[in-house]
Amino acid sequence: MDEKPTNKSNSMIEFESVTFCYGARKILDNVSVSVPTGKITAIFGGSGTGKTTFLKLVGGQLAPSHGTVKFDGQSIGGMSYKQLYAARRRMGMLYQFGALFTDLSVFENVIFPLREHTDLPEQILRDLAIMKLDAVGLRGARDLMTSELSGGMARRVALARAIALDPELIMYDEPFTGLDPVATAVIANLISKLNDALGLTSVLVTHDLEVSLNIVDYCIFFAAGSVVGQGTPDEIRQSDNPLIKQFINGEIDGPVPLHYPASDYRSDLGLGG
Amino acid sequence: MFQRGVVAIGRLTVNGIWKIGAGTAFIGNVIARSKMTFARPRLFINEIYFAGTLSLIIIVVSGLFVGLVLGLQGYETLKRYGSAEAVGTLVALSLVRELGPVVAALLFASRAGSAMTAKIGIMKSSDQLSAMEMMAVDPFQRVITPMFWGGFFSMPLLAAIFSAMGILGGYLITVVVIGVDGGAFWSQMQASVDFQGDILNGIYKSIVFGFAVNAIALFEGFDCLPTAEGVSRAVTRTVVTSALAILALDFVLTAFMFTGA
Amino acid sequence: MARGTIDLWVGIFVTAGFLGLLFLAFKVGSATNFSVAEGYVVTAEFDNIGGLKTKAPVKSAGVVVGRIEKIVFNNRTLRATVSMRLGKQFEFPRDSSVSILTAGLLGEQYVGLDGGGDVELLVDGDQIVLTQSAMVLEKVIGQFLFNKASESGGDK
Repeated sequence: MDEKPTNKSNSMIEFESVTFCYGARKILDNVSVSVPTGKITAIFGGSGTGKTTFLKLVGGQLAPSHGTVKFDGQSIGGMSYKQLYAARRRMGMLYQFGALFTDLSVFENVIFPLREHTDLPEQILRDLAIMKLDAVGLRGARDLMTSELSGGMARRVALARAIALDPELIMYDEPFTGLDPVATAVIANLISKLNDALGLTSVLVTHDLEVSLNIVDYCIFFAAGSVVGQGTPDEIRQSDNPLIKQFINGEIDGPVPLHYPASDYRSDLGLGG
Repeated sequence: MFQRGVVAIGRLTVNGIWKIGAGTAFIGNVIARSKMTFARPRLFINEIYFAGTLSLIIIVVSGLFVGLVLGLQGYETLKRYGSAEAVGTLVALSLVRELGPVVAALLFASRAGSAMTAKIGIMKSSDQLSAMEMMAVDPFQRVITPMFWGGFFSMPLLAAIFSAMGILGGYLITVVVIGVDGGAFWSQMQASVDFQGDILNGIYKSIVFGFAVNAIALFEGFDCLPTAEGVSRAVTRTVVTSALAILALDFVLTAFMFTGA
Repeated sequence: MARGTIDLWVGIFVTAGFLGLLFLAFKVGSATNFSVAEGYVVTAEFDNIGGLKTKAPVKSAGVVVGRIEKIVFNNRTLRATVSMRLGKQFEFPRDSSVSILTAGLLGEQYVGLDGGGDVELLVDGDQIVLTQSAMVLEKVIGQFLFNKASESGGDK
């Protein structure tokens, strides 16, 4: 399944041997993957394996040290400031904790991108906001301040904001972190529903395998900055790759070591000879 | 031990130079992306509210008290030499030349500057700036630059209000309370306060301070570590660095303005 | 907060700021006084200028009529040449005299200009011949004694 060929012409995002270093630390090491258009793709990996970096590279907020990141066939690195901003208008991003503007109400948060990019009259903005909020089931919460929202609601508002500009690609950064099972199910359901209803391409960065495997079409596994496996959810479930198995079964120790590299325990305690 | 000291000095120097360079680039960036601020006055007005109006109370009250103290102290000293009427001159010159711009800027740094740093820092640490960027909205143009110009515009006005309130405070305590002759108070003041040399120079000072404080506050906010602790440290740094910058700049400006020809 | 409220408060702030500036300019300072930029320059030579500085006022009958523009040492006469710019609306006879005085005990030094009786008027570039140098010490002592005498009754 590691060799599964990807259809290059149908890829929204393509990474061509991308390496990203933060100082001396290699976050991504020679990564080549592609994300299929119109599907929900999940990117799995433990904490600190470069998943968020992946999203930031797609959004052009970080530039790769080597290699090319392509969005809809265009190299992000080769874009001018204007082209990059035009490309970003075609992307939506849902941050881990929503990243709502704390000084604005729910309603103002949702229409923020519309206010910035269009000259639509107030009445139409209002209707659009109501429609977007209705899509996430929060039409009644439009006059609340963001501080009055629960974690799950905040993420749904952020989702309404992310789809305000009708993007083609939407990226979710850890959408399930810190949510109760009901809220998790609600978000998962929304991700799946929106993808079908709006014809989006979705990228889901997460370490919540159980929920995600039910809604995604394709999975990519990251470990230590490299892609260690990819395939459909069924293929992943049956994978005999030890890294993936450890991840699926939640084993404490395995190819992903429990211990941070250290010197010998006994000699560290001063016991060794 | 000695070696470690040298290393620490070296690191401080490198960090300092890096900060100056990054700060200069940052401010260049802010000014270069000013177009939206002036194309959308709403952004600018909101930031004047944020930086100026919200600092108004502290400026008015502090100005009044500084004036009261100056008037009282000045009167006590000057009356020994029989020139109590000169208290107006003393109060006005100290305020217009030094205390007005300097104290107003210090208050501005602790009231508005720290709030700016905190706001930017929180927006950064909660991914709001990044989210804005991903919505294809430049956070520089939309958030940082309007804040800069709002604060820059507010500072001289706040300094003028501070000086005016201080002089009124001096008038209150010496003329109304103590009973110094009011006519002499104003006329001596007017005779010795020069519009060009004293008042305009004071305003120039407050413009320079306003530039420095706003630049420092926004840079510290933008540069902070995106954590709660990082934000609180950045706020502290804003107040400390601003205070040092104000006092150092004040010395340099005073040396240029009020000495020699 | 509602947009109107913000506008109101910003309006109040900006108005207060400009009122403060106007107050400083017209009530505290002397922006209404004549502009020294326009005017004519006359010079005078003094044996000793004491602590006179450039930009110090030139007063006649107590009214500020000009400012000191330049003070140089004249190598030939070994005296100080003081250039002063007088407001163009003020006219003085050619035989006017100047003296260096001190405003109060701690006040700054200024040039007092006393009009003479000549029918011809001072014009740009003229030199005033009658000068009286600074008499700092005497004036200080005089004032000091005077104040001591007048205060010794009530203060102690």
